[in-house]
Amino acid sequence: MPEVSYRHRLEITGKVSRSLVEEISRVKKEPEWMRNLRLRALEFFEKARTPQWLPFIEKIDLDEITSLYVKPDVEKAEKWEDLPEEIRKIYEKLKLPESYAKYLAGLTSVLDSESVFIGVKDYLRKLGVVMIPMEEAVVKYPDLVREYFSRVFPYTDHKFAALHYALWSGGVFVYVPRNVKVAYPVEAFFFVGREMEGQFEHSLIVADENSEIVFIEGCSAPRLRRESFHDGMVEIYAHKASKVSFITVQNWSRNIINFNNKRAIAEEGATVDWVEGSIGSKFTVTYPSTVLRGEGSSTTSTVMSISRGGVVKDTGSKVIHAAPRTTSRVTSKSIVADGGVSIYRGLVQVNKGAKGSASYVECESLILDEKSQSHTYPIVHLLDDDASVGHEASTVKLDEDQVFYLMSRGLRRSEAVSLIIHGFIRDVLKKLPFEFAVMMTRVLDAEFGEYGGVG
Amino acid sequence: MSIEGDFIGDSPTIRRYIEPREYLKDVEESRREGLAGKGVTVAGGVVSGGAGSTWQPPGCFSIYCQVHKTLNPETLVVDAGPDTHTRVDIDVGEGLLPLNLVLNLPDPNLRVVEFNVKGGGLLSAWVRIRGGSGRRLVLKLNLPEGRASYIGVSEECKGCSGERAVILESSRTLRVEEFIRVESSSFRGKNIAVAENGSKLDWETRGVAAGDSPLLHLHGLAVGAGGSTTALRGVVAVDKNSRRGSVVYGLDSIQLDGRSLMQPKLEVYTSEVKEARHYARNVRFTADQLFYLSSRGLSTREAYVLLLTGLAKTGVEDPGVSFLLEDVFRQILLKLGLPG
Amino acid sequence: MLEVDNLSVEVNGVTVVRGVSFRIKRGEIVVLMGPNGSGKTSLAYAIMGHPFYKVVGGRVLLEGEDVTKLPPNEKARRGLFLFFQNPVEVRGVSLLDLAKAVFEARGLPGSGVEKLVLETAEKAGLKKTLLTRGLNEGFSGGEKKRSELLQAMLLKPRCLIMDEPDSGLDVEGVRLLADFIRERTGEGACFLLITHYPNLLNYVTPSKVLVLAKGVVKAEGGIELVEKISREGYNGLV
Repeated sequence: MPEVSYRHRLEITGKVSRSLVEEISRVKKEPEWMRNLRLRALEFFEKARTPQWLPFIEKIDLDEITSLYVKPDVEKAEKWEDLPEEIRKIYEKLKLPESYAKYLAGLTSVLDSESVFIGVKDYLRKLGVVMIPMEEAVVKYPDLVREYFSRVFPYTDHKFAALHYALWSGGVFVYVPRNVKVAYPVEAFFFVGREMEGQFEHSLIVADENSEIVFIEGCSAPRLRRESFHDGMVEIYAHKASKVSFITVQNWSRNIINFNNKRAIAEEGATVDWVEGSIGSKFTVTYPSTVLRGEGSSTTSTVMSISRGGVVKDTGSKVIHAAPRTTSRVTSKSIVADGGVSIYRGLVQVNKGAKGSASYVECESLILDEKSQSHTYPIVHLLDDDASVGHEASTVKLDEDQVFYLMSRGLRRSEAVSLIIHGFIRDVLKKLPFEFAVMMTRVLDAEFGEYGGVG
Repeated sequence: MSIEGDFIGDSPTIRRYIEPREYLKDVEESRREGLAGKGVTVAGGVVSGGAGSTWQPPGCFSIYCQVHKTLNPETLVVDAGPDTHTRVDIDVGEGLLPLNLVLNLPDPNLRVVEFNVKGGGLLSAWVRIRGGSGRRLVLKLNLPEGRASYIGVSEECKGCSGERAVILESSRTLRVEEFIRVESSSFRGKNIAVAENGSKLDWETRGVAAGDSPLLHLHGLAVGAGGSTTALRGVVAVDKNSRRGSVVYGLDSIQLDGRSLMQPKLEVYTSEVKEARHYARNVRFTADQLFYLSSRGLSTREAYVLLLTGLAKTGVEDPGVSFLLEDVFRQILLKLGLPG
Repeated sequence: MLEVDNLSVEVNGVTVVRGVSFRIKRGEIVVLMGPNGSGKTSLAYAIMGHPFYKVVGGRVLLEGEDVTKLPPNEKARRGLFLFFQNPVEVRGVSLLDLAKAVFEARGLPGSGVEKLVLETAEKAGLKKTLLTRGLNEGFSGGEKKRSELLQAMLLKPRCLIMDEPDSGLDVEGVRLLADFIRERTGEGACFLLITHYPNLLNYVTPSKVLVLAKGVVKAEGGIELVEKISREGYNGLV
């Protein structure tokens, strides 16, 4: 029988105390309903069964997590030279302006060229777009927040969602008013900066009828994180005919276990696009999901993951077609090398009554060496017989014939391999805003440029 | 049963349709009815008792299989005769019939083996197919309405090649498990499952491709009629030490009337693979396709038979197997409620 | 003989053909031309009976019988044939499978079909390998037309509607098509030929040319109408 290392049981040790959660709420001056939500979530977390279908994670220590929560600034680097060498090297390869690199590395708390972004902030303000830290929104727009908070992704969904709700802190709240179309992609990082750095940040994006926004979370340059466990969440509510694109590029240091809970609800005629580029971390679990609740709504999900070395990427997409004539399209590309592991988990479900719906899922995985693994676990669940659904996936290895061909045209092996990898990823890069695509390309070169193997 | 604790862990989605606990209840009830029915008779072959056989189903990973072992199944060996056709009548009566069946195929000739189940009792059976290189088999299984039942099929092909088509017609809750291990050889399998009369079918496959240049191509087709639920799922893995493997695991499902679940998992443990892909598609015949066939003189019903038979033959290489498969499948279709 | 009498057709509530009338006698060829979107294919589909193309007025008569409300297969059994401009792909069903099914449906013996198809494939210039593949799957434009031609040759219909049969065909293929049309008209079949290119008309002679624009017959004439259009386009007429 194939060796599947699902043998260890995930152990959760330590405890999150009720008083800690109450204290968190008190310090943030939250309304009662929020405090109650936290406590109910904590209760659920304690009762819920530990999921055993996540391979490769053995232990999560809550005491460690909560101690870091309380004292987040312990052991931060003070000087450029204090940064780990591998991170400094990558910044150099990416040719980042020093000020930016320092900011990312956490050495400065204010971005020197912040003035550039004041113009964009102004633009948003004039449109009536609300973009403020989540905690501020809870206090400033309580009714608006209460209407949507935890409605897209309930804490009862799974154990770590509940943990998230008990401890959430940071994140951004975005509200785009009716008929407002935000012309430029908005990068969360530069607006709420530190707020996006939390272990349990919660972002909520509400797009009112006929509005449009492209939101970018994270960045492709490596980020040094002290804590080892991240359990963030993104909720998106796309009202009728609105269009929301949510782009995540994640490149965290190699000690992170990263849970990313993402879900959207799309109303009639709305479109939600998820784009996910996952480069860093030790273990990432993320399944951007969309519930197509309104007739004619649609969603796309483009996921790219890189697992190099002992890295595990457990990514995928979930789409629930809950209304007629809804469409979805999922594209997943993963590259594994050096003993990396890539897992794709997908669900396409067509509920009864979702007539005339169509879905197409395409996954491709590129394995670069014998030590690595790639697994695909799709589920197609059809409760109505009037739907057109297809899922196709293939796992390929580096085509030596292609490499030979490119080398015969004068390229070194490493250059040939780089070119092939770019070709493989091209569909995903197309979806990223230009600067990100450029950054991603540089990151790929940095990661795989030296990957030549023999020859 | 103490087995429960460890094994009731199947996916919540599947358990919504076939709950293992219900099966355990069925086993208890039918046991009380006693071992009834006339057992097994064979036409076109020879059946003998496999006394002292200690064969265990490979990879007993489910509660159904664990329960099967505790039922002390009788082992029978069926040697397929010289003719193409062998029929095995299994009379379950109204009780319980636990069975381990070894099917011996003596030569590479094309064979049709038909398992005809009679009675509404509970059948818990493992079928172990043994044969030499180049064997070609069309296996037909028919289960009328009755208690939930369990059938396991295993195929071992070390250094030999084969092609097999299974056509299953079921009107009862049925759990099918399939185990195929290919080592440095090739195996093509086509599984067609027709679920009728509001029945539920859960077919789980475990496949492994190992060794040098293994070929494992599995294609499944689920036809759900009369409000049935079909679940086709499984794992096919490319072994870490295999070289130049070619693995295809594809599932098609057509819902004439009913629900469908497909979950083809693919695990690849090495980069030394020639081809590794899978797909899950549901089939809908478009208005344009139906119009085209109609413009050639076919009624809607005739068009459906043509299209479904085409789907049935997809993935089948051997023309002999394809021809017989088409014939058997067509007979089933004619009884089914097709549109038009 | 095919008669179309004051036919009006709606698709999704939009009228695409309005009050079209013409008659094609046995052995006759009528050419239908018109700019893109004029309703030519819609007319062809409606005559054949596609469920989305609703006949909201008028009649279609085949050999004197009113077949307007009949489903496509009934019309086919009565000798009507539609040569598709863009035949649909059918996974898992090969030309051979289709031929066998069609013959069986008409009560003709199934044996010998394979041989007949092979012979006809040679006549139609269609590679043998395409006979066992899924219908039209991965076929080139020319191959799709030859596949349609093969079917027409096999079924020997009495009245053929050909929707741009020559587009995508090489010179050899066009000549083959012309030979077929000539042979069949000699045997009394009638043809409604929808075409853009005067190419084919170098080989066959229509008795009438109709020009359709925005769903209505805008001009009627003889072969000289074709020459006029190839010189001046449709501008003067529509």
